[in-house]
Amino acid sequence: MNVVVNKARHPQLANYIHSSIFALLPYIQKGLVERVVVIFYGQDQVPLEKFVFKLTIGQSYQSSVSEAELEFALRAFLVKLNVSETIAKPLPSGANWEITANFRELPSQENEGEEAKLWVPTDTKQWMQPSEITPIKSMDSNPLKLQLYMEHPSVTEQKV
Amino acid sequence: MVEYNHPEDTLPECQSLFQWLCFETVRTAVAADSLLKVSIFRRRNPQIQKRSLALSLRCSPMSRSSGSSSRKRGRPSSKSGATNPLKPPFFKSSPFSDFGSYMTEKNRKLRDQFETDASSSSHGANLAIADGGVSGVDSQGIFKGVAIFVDGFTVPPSQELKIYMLKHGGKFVNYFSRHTVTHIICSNLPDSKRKNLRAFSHGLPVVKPDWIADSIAANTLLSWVPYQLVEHAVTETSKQLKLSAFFSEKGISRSHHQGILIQNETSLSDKCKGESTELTLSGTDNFSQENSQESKHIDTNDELKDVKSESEEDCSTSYVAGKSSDHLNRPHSTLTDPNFVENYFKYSRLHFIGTWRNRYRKRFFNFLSGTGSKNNNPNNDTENLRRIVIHIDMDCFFVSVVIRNFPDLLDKPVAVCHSNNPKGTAEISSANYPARSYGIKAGMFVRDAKARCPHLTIFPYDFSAYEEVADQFYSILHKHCKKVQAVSCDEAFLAVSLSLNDNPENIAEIIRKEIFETTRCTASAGIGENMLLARLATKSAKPNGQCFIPLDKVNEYLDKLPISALPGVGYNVEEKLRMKEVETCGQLRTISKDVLQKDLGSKMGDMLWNYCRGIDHSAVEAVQETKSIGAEVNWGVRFKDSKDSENFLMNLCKEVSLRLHGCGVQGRTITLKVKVRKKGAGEPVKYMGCGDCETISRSLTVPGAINDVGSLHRIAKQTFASFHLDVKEVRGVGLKLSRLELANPSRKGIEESRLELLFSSATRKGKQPVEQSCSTNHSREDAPSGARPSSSSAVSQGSNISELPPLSHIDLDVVRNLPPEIFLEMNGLYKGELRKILESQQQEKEYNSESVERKDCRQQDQEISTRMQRELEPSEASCSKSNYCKSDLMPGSLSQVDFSILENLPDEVRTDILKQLPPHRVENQFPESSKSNLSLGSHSKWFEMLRVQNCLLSEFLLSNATFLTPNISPSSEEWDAIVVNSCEFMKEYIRQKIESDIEELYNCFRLLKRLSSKSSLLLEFYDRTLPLLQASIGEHYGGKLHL
Repeated sequence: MNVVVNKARHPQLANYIHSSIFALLPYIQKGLVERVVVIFYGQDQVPLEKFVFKLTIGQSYQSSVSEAELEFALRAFLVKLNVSETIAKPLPSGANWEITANFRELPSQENEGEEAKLWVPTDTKQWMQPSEITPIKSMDSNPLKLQLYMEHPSVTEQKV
Repeated sequence: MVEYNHPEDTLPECQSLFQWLCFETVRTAVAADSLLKVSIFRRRNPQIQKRSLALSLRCSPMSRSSGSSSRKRGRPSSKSGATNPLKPPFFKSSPFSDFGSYMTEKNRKLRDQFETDASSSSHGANLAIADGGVSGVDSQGIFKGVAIFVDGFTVPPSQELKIYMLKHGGKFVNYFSRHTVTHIICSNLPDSKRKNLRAFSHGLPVVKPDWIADSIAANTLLSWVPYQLVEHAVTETSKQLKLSAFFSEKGISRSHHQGILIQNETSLSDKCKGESTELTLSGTDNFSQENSQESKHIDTNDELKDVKSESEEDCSTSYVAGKSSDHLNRPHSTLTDPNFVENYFKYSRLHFIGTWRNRYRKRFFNFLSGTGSKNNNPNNDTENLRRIVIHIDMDCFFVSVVIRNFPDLLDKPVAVCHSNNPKGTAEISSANYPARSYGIKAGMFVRDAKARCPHLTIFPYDFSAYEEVADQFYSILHKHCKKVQAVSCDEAFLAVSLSLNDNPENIAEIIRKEIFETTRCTASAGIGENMLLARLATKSAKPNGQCFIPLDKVNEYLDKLPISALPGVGYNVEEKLRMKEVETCGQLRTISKDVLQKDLGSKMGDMLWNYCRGIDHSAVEAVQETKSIGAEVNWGVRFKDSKDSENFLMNLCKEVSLRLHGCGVQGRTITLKVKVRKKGAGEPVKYMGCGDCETISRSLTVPGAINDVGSLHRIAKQTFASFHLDVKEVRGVGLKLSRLELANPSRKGIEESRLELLFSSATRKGKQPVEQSCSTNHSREDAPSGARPSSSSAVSQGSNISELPPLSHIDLDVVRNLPPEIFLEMNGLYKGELRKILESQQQEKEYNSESVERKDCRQQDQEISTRMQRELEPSEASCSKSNYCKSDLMPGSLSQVDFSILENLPDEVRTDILKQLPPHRVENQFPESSKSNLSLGSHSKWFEMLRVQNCLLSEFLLSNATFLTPNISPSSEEWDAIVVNSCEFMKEYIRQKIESDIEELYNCFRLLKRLSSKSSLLLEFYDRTLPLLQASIGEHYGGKLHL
């Protein structure tokens, strides 16, 4: 089924996304990456909105899932992202964004060599209160468990 | 008889031909155990008109013979038809009229040779050996009056024995005669001779060569009785043979080559056969030849030439003899010895050391427990005390204990080993200082040690003496010091508190003196401020000395110290540091801690940094916890089939269980380690050793600690089977228990009751729901083990610690459907609890269905309507019973489609999807019975249903909203029960989904929220479960669900 999945078209943006994800790939394969988060900041560098992709990868799963099936599942997953606009809040002008990854454990510098240097520790400001979570989509096709949810600062924090 | 005709034209070839012929005949003669005669003659062949040289070697079965070299020279047979034109004058004037006279002459000549050798021998003793009889011998050597005849291959070889006899006044007879010989020396006898010993020995004693060696060692003529070769004499008390048949057999076997041959022969392996077909000789010949060649390979000693010059046939016959007797009884391996494991540990030095601690702890328990109170007092009253650590180590303990009864051996090289076989691959376990000066080290093969130091004396272990001395040693230590840390049976740390003016060397002196007086063995002592310095000091103190490193001399001492002397510095670390050109502690001190930690790891770096500055924070501890208990065998392990291995495992488990009982502990983690021959690795150099191996291990943690043979064996067997090994390749097996707990009968009761609790509500107790535990297991597994049934999937490969899933994690449905064998095995693993649960479940079910029936009446009318509805529904509905993991790939029905997306899709796509999907899934997914008692019945049933039906709670809520609003009056008992049950269920559901599917939870609670406006029951339910949900979300995602 030809479900359309949207993709960034600006070459620089596409390149950035691609290279970030590609650099993450070795860690994802090792199962080190727990979450990949796309954070939108306001002008004051305080996160306004986070799209969290939570990954759980079965390392040794003997895949009985065909590539086509997995692709279908991922398409379905991403389509849901398109329609999540209603949950998202309008961003103020001058907003910024970045991709961060939460690791289960820090990769050792020695073993990784060049790749590890591509990533720098983030200095993202944290919200003071627990965030509000709105799940968007969860999929569980055994080698890959993926959950997408949004995080917003809690109501009390927004007022402050 | 071998005959060969050769045309004379090619005379130059004749020489080599002759040699070949001799060789061939000698071998044939060897096989036939007969005399051989050589005749060379020339004859004219009238047909071919060519002169040809005919060589004929004739074997006649007359008597035993030896000395093929002399035979090669030959003697023309007087019976040969033609006279030899080449050397007629010599033979005509020959003094021998017949064979008998020749032999007499030869014997005389040999005797003369021996005599001249003897008189010129360095020993210098008066070794006049009279002609003929024994009675006439007049010598001062210990072997005075002894004339030996060496039969067959011996250890030491016959040439060496001959030299011994030369030196010590004995006689060495080349040809057996009842009248001249007093002792027959041989190591092995062929079966036929063994059976018919009298005929073979003519009533003379048949003695092992050890007799000679030991007599020389003891410098007196020992009684030969204990050294008799015959089996019934194995009850002797001799030193070497004390190690019972098990190890004394090892003394006989000469080399691993022989071992291979035997093994090949017994197991009829192709290798040997292939070789024998290559040669057109009989099988026995093949063996003898091969063996004699091997003897040349093995002998690296000077005797090499002697062996070669020695008559070949003699050599080879004895090889044959040796072979067959070895064949007879060779209980070295697991193959033949039923009590292998038991014997193995009985004679293992390492085992002695290993188990010694236990013994020590029992024996010195009073000291150990008493230390606490006594120790505190001196510490409290005086501050001007300084703490000093003394490290005491006996000097080459295993040797000195043995030789304390042989003062004359004190300055001679002596080693301890379980086998005295100079060609053997037994390992030297300890060598004294004179022996060490020859470069003999522990762990060296005997044959290498003997090559370095031929006069090395080797003693067997004397375990009872070791125990005795170790006990004495510790009694002394405890007498002088309250705080003793036992390192080994011969090594200990003492923590001593001294006043400032006391010289710590004095106390060490006293202790050492007392040790020497009591045990007659010397000890060395190192004294320092901490354990490290004390230990280092001992190194420079040895042997029989003491060394004190005062605080101000520490740096000076360490400056020159090579880093390899530091404890914990092994080959790897040394190599790494050498790369940095660091070889001494002084150089090491120049490196910063950070750099060290970066290079060698934080722990090691920290340790080294401290050590090279003489800092050691570890304290002298009286009692050290036992971390694990186990047994490992990697010598002599050879299995023919799985039955062998099973027996072996059983024995190993018995041993381990015994040890556990001995220590009064139980273990929870069982680790099985197996050494498997590496692909392509040949037979190990060490006889019956493990050789080049790959080690695989797997551990299993059981819920309750065990120490009984049965459970151990069951687990070991199962684990062993899971390796899927060819048992023939197994070279070593070890079984170890860790996570030890004190075996306490009262504990067991608690354990059991806890288990019962677990099962009374299998789902409630589980920390993780079933699906998740399965999947996490999958991800934890490094190596594929897909073939294994799901029940055992938790057993992970390699060193990963794996455990039996707690019973609560087990999917009982799966268990119920398992084949009976697997169920039995699982049941065994859980000690029979599984069956109990299933039974109790069954009962519960029956009970539930009863109660359901009662409650159902109320809803019967509703049910009827749904049943009708269901009958109308197409059967596709059941398609959602597909594989769980694929539920996300293609929605089973329209109900699974996310409508928010569907609405946003373009029209064509939407219709496409609608066409592809099966019709709307309906309520009849859920059996009415379960539906009706969903909120009423046990939550586990809900849960089960959801899993079996493979659907989501949210869908259920969506489609069954009406059923969830029973007309029950609020705050009645029934109401409470329902709410509690439902909450319990929801708790479980949240637990299951929280990791993988918060979307589902989100949907559920949105639905519940919506529905709760209609039903007070649901409202209460919602209110009760919401905090739980938020708490779990907070725990896992660090936020709250935005509902």
